[in-house]
Amino acid sequence: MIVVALSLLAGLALVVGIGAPAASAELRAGRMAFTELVVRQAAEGELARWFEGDWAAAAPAMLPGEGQSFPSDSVDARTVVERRLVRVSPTLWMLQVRVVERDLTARDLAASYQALLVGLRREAGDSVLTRYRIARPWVQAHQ
Amino acid sequence: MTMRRGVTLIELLVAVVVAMVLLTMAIRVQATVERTGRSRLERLGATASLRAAAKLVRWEWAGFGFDSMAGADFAVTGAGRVSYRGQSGLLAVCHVSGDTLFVDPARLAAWRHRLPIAGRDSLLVYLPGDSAIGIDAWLPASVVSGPDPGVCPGGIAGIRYRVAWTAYAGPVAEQTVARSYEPLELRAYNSAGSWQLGQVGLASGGVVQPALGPLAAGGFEILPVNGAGVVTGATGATGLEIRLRMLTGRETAVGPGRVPRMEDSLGFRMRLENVP
Repeated sequence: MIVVALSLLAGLALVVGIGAPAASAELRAGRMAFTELVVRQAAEGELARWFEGDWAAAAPAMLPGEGQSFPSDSVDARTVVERRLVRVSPTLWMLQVRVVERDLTARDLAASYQALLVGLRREAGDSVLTRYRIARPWVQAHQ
Repeated sequence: MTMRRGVTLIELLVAVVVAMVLLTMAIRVQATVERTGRSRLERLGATASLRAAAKLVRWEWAGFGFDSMAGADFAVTGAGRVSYRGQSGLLAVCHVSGDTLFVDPARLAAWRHRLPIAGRDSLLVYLPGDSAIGIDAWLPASVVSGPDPGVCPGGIAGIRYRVAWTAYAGPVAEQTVARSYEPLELRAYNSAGSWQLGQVGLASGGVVQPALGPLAAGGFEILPVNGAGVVTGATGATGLEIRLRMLTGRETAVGPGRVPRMEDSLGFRMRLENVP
């Protein structure tokens, strides 16, 4: 009986010892993949919104190489959205968006840094500049 | 005189047999639990490999695009085989003079993985057009020499490259941007009876660098799809459907039983961000 009890205890210890950390690792990896996806989607959405938004008024006054930060948005306490407009050439601007998801201790969990290359042109007869996405406009940061 | 009650030989034999049966059962239970635990770890390894493969593909291929001059960034060249432009970043071109191109390395540094290398990397240089010619496309150019020290307008330290333009004789903007890339191939290949996912640098004619595995046979499928989700060619694709099937590393054998190698799969569809 003692042998059986000890064996069952050993089995239970194995189940807990192998199963619990494995399940925990699986849960953590799944949660991280989900967070990365959410952050990526948030950056894509923010870029699309900003393209239609308020950047074009400030853009023509900038010189090539100059950049201008726009106010950061905090979607919630743990998600920060940073936006920056950079003029990369006389005819091209870059809308840069960085979305960071942080944990309760303000440590970065996942970040997505994406940009759109956009142009401004004056259509015949128009007094205002028209914004347009160039061919292959999307860029992702390598940092 | 006191009488002592002992055990007979029969009783002792029965007790030993019962103990042996119980011990055998306990050992089998323990072996089963250990085998299950180990096979679960193997399964976790396969799942982690699938996730890593999906992450690699999403990162490398999300920026695939198409335009009238550079064409499509990828081509499915066979079963489980795709050649593509492996993007290494965006460069700020500060000056262009004939076949010489100057890059400002400080600008757009966050958007660059590494500077291009002659003989291996190529460029897509953006042609913005002007009031006379409305070009909106990227011109392919191979890097012939560089990086060499150069100077950008205004005396800023720059990097000089000599390039070979591809089939274009028109003007190139003085200041523009260029995407650098290395021609790569991702393929499923068989090594000593085991299928792996590997990457090859096509310009350098290199050997296959193993990326992930082991795959199930035919376990890497790439299907270009259009907006309606119908499988199409590379030039009409707006997305990619990827199907991956991986095997656990080995069978698990503990005690009398064994768990054979298992298969895990992952399928996902990704949008290509740079198609028109």
